[in-house]
Formats: sequence, structure tokens, C-alpha cells
Amino acid sequence: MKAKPQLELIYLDMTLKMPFKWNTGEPLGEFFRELKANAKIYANQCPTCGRYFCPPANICTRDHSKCNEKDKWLAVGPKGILLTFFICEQSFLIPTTGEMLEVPFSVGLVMLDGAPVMLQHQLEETDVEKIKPGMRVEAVFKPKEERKGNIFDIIHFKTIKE
Amino acid sequence: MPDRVGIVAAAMTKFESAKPWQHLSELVLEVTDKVVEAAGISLQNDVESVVSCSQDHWDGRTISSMPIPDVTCAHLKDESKVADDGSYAVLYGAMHILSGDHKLVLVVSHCAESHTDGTIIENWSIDHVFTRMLGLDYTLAAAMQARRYMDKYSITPEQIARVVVKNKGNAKKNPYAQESATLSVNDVLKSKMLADPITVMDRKPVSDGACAMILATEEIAKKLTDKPVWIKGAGNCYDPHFLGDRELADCDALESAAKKAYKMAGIKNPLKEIDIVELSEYYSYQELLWTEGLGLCKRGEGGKFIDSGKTQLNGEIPVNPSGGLLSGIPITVAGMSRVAEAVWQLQGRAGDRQVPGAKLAVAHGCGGICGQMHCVLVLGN
Repeated sequence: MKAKPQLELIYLDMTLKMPFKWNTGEPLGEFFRELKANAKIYANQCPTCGRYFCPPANICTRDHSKCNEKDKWLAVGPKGILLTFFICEQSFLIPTTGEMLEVPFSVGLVMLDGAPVMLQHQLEETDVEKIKPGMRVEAVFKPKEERKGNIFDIIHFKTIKE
Repeated sequence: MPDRVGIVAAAMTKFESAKPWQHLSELVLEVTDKVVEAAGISLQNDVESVVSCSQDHWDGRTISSMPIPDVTCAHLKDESKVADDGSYAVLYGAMHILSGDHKLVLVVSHCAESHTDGTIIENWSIDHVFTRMLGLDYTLAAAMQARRYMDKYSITPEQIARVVVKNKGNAKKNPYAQESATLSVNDVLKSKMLADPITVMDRKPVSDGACAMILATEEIAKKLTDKPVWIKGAGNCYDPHFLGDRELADCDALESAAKKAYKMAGIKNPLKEIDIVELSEYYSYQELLWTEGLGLCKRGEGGKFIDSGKTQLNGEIPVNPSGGLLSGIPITVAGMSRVAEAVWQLQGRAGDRQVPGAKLAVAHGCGGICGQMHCVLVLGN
């Protein structure tokens, strides 16, 4: 029996470019200004239900109370407790930079000292044997002249002994 | 099963070419707070469900409704999203109520066109394997449709320009309008050409903003306001995506949607029975074409219709007394803002642009390339 001739597979290759310039809005904008100018991480609290927000919220997500009075903001961290984490072993194309992710790459949810709020950020440590939920970590900031007013003003959280 | 759906209140932001101090969610927060106050209700206790309209690609995030529950106090409540156009959110919000599932629904839409490049986003909506790489966007497609419409029915550039003159002029009386101007037909014809016959004045400007309304059962609507607006009819219809698959000089989908809505509302003679029309004209020629699809004039007579003066603010059937989309409304919010304007007209709350004694209104939203899909709502007080 003769084999059927192979059809040429036709497909379309396309990479899409997505240019955006997003507004941060005021509470988030101020949060980033504080990261940039003062290497400070801020949170705030709902005056009605007591829930904390980091970055600060202007409206409580639970009961809609107004929250955004700057003088009621509190600085949290830069140290905290690691709650949980992931370590990524499989590299992939980062859509925002167009580069391949350097692996292993670890990110943790850190409960910052001062308020029950979490910050999600990269961890310096990437060895699963050396990362333990409950361990103390500390934010490492870029030098002031390199800070731009975004989440990368913090480089990562390093493990500390306390 | 509830009988009718009432619109209790509506709210919108002032539309602007950019709102750099507000996060997308804060646009929603602004109109949510405004409409809740206007309706005299509690966001926490009275709103049972939120139906939002936003476009993932315009926002730059998939599931663009993700921040909505945070700012509408809707954690652990029913929240759903529709894309396309804000008029569809009103339609689905009404369905929530007609189903008996919810008694009071917050409907909201937002978009900040200034965040990105509309040409790219519009290009993405186009068939990805056959047409997109030709470099089409909505303006270029509109130029094709306008050309076809003008050729088939001898619509003139002056007739099309009259839409811009009328709507930009009407916008002067609208405090929410982004842009208004006193123009002559010549001003429009002489303005910068984007893609013949579409000039920069023929296209709606880039805009940021949001809109919201409160829908409720008849019983609750009557308790909350002495001026409830009833949804009397609704119709929704889609044309094919590929421009070559339909007659661009006609709008069969709109005609079908309008017929459905009119039948439901018991309208036999739209021109005589309807008091005001708020339609979605992304490009000036579309107002002429949509008035045909809405059955206000015969096929091919959209140009004659605007020449007649009937659609002027002081005419027999004012079309876009608000200033329409040409005054500056973002995509997505567009159709919902038409409903909001119609609601205000029927409630006697349209300020200087009020059409006296308005009792029956048509609000129209559309989406997709060259108005691929249309939603028609008939509203009455």
C-alpha cells in the first residue's frame, strides 16, 4: 500500500506587541513614591472593620469605608515572616521583558512586621532546602538613584537570622 | 417572576481625553459611589449582583473585571462581566432581575483608552489568521464602510459632516461631555484626513471614563424613585465578522435588533412614537446608517433624514441630544452611556439638553468592526 502524501501544515506565526502606560491611582502612586524616595513600605487600615491593606487602599474592599487618609498610613517591614513560597524550575518567556526567566526563581508571600499584610516578592534564596515558612526575611532595596517608583525598587527579600 | 425591570438611577464620570490620577478601578469606584447615592441605597446591603462591562485588551489584563469586586463591595456576591459594549451589561443586568435571581443589580462599565494605542487593540480584534496582518483597524474599516455606503446610496460628505456639527454643538449643553464645539460643515470637510472619507473630526476622540446604573424589580424601583424608567423592549443581533460577508451599506443586524426591541415594546411606527434616540456613532457616517437600521427612515435615506432637520435638538426626534460618542466617550462605556442619557431624558434630569416631555427613548450600543453587533433598548417612563 502506498502511503498518503504528507500535506504541508500551514500556520501563522505572530508575536503581538502590547504598549501600555497604566495609571497607578493615588494610594498606589503614593506607595511607590515612598518606595522610591524613602525605601519605606506603607500599609493602611479600614477605620470601620480594622482590616489592613498593603499597598494602602482608598476604599475598604469588605465594607466600602473610605480609608485613604495619608496621616493614618503606617510603615511596615522591611522585615517580616515568610508565609509561603514557590520556586520556579522551568524557564519561560517573560511577557513584560521579552527575556527568558532565569531559573531557579523563587517568590514568597511575606507577612511584614507591623501589620497583618502580605507583600509578594522575589526571594534571594532559591534552594528549597534552605527556605522554610516561618523564617525571617528582609527587603533589600536598590540604591536610591536606581529606584524608579515600582515594585522592583525592592530587589528581593533576603533570609536573615533573628 | 418579576414583570418589568426598572432603571432607578444612572451616573457617569466627566469624560476626558486622559484621567492620569485614577487607576482603572477608581473610575469604577467613582461612578459606583455616585449612582448608589443617586439611588438612595446601600451598596453593602441592597446591591445583590454586579454586572460589569470592560474589554480585556483595552485594560491590558485578561479578566479585566478582577478589580471590580474590590471597589463595589462585591466580595462573596454574584459578579459577572460582559465584553463587547456597556449596553450588553444593561441587558444582562436586566436578565438577572427577570430570572428572579436578584432584585437589585449594579451595572457598571469602564475604559481608559489613553492607556494604550487603540489602533493596535482594534487590530487585535480582527481575524488573526486571515485579515489582521493586512493592518486593519476600526478607522480604516470605517473608511471602507463609509465609502460603500456613500457609493450605494449617494450619501454626500456634507450630510455626514452635519452629524459632527450637530453632535459637537449639542455637547455644549452636556456637562459630562469631553469636547464640544461650534462648527460649520466646511470646518469638518477641511479637517485633517485620516482615511478618506474619515477625517479626524469624523472620528470619536480618545477618552477615559466610566458609567453605572442601578436596575431593580418593579416593586423596588417604585419604592426608590418616583421616576423609574422601564426597559420596554430589547433586541440584540450580530452580523458576520468578515467585512466581505455583509453588505456594508446596510446594517441588517441593527435592523433585526431594532425590530425585536420594537415588537417587545409594542412600537409600530418608530418615527412617530419615539421621542429621543441616543445611538453609538463611533464615526459620523454611522449615525446616518444607524438611523436607517433603527427604522427611523428608509434604507439609503440617512442623508436625507439629517437634512430634514428632524434629528436636531429641537427637531421631531432628536438624535444624540447628549452630543453622542463624537463628543468623547470611551469604547465599552459607549452603549451604557447612551442608556444613561436616555434615562436622564425620561426622568427629566437632562439639564440644558432636556428634550421636553420625553416619554419613550431608544438607546443603542454596538461593538465590533463596523458595528458588527448591535443592542437596542427601548426605554419608557
